[in-house]
Amino acid sequence: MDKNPIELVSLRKEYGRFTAVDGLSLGIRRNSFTGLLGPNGAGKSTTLKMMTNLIRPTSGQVFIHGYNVTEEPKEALAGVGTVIETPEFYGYMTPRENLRYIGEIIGMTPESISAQSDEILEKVRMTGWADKRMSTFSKGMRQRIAFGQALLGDPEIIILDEPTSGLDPRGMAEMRSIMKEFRGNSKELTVMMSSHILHEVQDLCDRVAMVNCGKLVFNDDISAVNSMAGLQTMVLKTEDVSEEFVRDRLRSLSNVVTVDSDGTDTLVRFRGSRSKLFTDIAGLGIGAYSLSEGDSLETKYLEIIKESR
Amino acid sequence: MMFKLSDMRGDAMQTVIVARNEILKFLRSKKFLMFGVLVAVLLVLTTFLPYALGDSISGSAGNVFSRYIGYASLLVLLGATLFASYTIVSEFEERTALILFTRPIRRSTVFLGKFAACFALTAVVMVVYYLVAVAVAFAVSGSFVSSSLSSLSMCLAYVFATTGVAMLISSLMRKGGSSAVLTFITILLLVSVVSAVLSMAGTDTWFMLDSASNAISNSVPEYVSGMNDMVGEMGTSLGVSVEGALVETADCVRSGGVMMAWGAATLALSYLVFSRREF
Repeated sequence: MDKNPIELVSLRKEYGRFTAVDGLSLGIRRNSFTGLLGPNGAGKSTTLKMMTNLIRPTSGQVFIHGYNVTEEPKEALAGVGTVIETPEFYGYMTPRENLRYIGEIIGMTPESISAQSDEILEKVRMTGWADKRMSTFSKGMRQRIAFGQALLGDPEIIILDEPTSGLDPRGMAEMRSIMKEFRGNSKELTVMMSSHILHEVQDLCDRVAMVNCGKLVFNDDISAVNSMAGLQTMVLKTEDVSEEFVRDRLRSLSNVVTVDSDGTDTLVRFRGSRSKLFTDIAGLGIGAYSLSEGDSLETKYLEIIKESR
Repeated sequence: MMFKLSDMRGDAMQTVIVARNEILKFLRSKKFLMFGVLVAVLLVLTTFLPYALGDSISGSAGNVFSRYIGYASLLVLLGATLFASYTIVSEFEERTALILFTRPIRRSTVFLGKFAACFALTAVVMVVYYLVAVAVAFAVSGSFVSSSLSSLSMCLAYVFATTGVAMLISSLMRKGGSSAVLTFITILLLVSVVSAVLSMAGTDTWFMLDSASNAISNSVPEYVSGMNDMVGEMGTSLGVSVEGALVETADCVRSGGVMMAWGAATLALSYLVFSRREF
């Protein structure tokens, strides 16, 4: 029961001399939300495509529910919802017809397809477009339907490749809100998503896996990202003093490791207590008027990617 | 064993679903409309034009039927070009594979569903075409064309073969337009060129698709005698011997077998390419 629902074993994909994925082994825990991060060309999409039987591994295996995806795709992909890249739909069909087609393929009854389609279309704010042919839909509208079709049949596993790509800011927020809703539900659901938007991963995921040059370079709880090197990041805003003066004064603090400035904000990386840092900065006389938590995932991501090059 | 049986039932259901969706795709597209209009225009012209030009409304059922049968192979080729040449490549070109192939469905099921749809669409149109031809022949002569069934079975075997060739090209190509053009050229020209070269080298080309497809019309005795009369008249007026150009009544078993073999071989190859194709 506690066995990982997704297991990647020594996964490798070569295109001629280029190795897109290089011996990747990764277990995705049951009921976890795992973010897959990595720079462009790191092998994220290739990995997700091998997980969904769109491409075959050169060597290694992907197991979903204990079934090898390449050898037993029908068994492995049962109960799996996917959005890979920005898929296209059958333009001659309406969203409702597209959902019915996918629902039939995965073996849902006409009644449950009908009931769940209405619910999903409402959830992705596409009810008003439910009966219009999709050939004229914008990328954002298609992405909403793509996300919706992944939810059909109440999947136990959802695999998402940049799920908010192509959506406007409101659409992104709505998709995140739907996913958070799922995380809050007690039902069985394991999600693996790749994203370039780090705060989206920080916001939604409880686990993070980082890949670079096709290799797994980090895989842990997202909370471990902050504590791994014991470094934290805060963003400081000051007024009426020079940048140089601020930097010099901050560097004089014993718990501060690095100080960087981008012209408006100062990024302070430090060890130890945040309240102590706050008290220390207040006593520096550098015109500090704001101290907020920095994006630790971004900091950690950049560090790990830099180290693994 | 129980699991296997239910699994096969599931696959069969999915094949029907894929086929139904594929038929819906073509019915809602301009391709089917175009094909339908073309067949209708051809039927109308073949039925009424000869009489409009002064031909008498008479003749045996076989003679009337022969007027229609000469166009059957061209219509089958158009059906394969419009439907089967597009069916696989479109999933990759239009990125719908990202939705369909990531679902719990085998590639073999998708392939079978698509084949069934393409074959059925062209076959149904051809059956309607034959029904109209037989009906007109019956209306004119009051008798049934006995050879129409063997001609129809040859026509359906040709639909099978051309669907296989078109799906093979569709599995290999990246663009639907290129696949359609290549399918048309391959079946209409390339196969004929190869046949012509082999003939010139003294080989009997009974195993070539174009030769076998001649059985669609050559299985109708009235068509064969009509063609031979015409060739004979031409020979007489030109003063040359036309013995080598005379048409023979088709060996339907052999021609049907050749077309089925072409279909089976190209479909097997097509599936092999399709099942290994990556997105």
